[in-house]
Amino acid sequence: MTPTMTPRQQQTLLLFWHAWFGGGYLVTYLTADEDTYGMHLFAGYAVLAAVIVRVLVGLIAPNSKLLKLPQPKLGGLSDWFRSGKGRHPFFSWFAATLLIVIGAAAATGALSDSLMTWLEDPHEAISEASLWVIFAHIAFVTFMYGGKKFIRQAVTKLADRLPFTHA
Amino acid sequence: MLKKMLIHGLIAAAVIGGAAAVYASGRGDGYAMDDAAPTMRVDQANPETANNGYIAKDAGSRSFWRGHDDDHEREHEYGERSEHDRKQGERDDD
Repeated sequence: MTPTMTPRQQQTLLLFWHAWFGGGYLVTYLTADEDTYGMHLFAGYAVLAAVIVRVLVGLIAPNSKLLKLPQPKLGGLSDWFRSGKGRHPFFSWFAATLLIVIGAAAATGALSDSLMTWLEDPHEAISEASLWVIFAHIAFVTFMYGGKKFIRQAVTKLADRLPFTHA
Repeated sequence: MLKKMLIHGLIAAAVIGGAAAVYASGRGDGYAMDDAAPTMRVDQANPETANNGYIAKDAGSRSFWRGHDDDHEREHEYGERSEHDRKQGERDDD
């Protein structure tokens, strides 16, 4: 797959997948009510399909920088906090955690619908937990790509307005 | 970039949500009702005529124009009523 795809195409594919995954999760979470069970089922299977596709693509293209599966390492985490250089390891940690948690939520949901109804409670618990992982992921990414700059500007503006900072 | 990803996600949500709504409407949303027990009293009394809760178009005419076999029954009902009225000294047009 990867030899025929340019990095730009791979990025487009990844963005498309991200939209599919995120949009599907949003619909699934918002329709997690008995009245909208049919929609919940459909969107949940869409999320499960997205997870399966992502894992398959990652296995097919293990050498692609963009499409390979995230491989978080504890060593990388400690190295980054010591040196502060390179890509933040939380990106891969969040990616792997989200794939596992949302994949588990989708898989337990699919199984509890037909084969193992006792998985209904674990499915709900994992789904609730997944929402907080997503919030943390959004907060982290927003901070990394815009939040740091925004906070720096806000602190500078605030410092300029304080009377005691002007001698 | 983040804004773009957010918009893409919302568009995907709209597409998946629309498809899910179509699927749900075809399926009959809510839990499967194949083995559900009738909840309306009329359904419980007459499982064969269990309906969706709406009054049927022929509901009025059916109750008014009962078949020939029921005529004697109706006369009997009126007869009983007349007898009852006589005893009680009541009239319908009071």
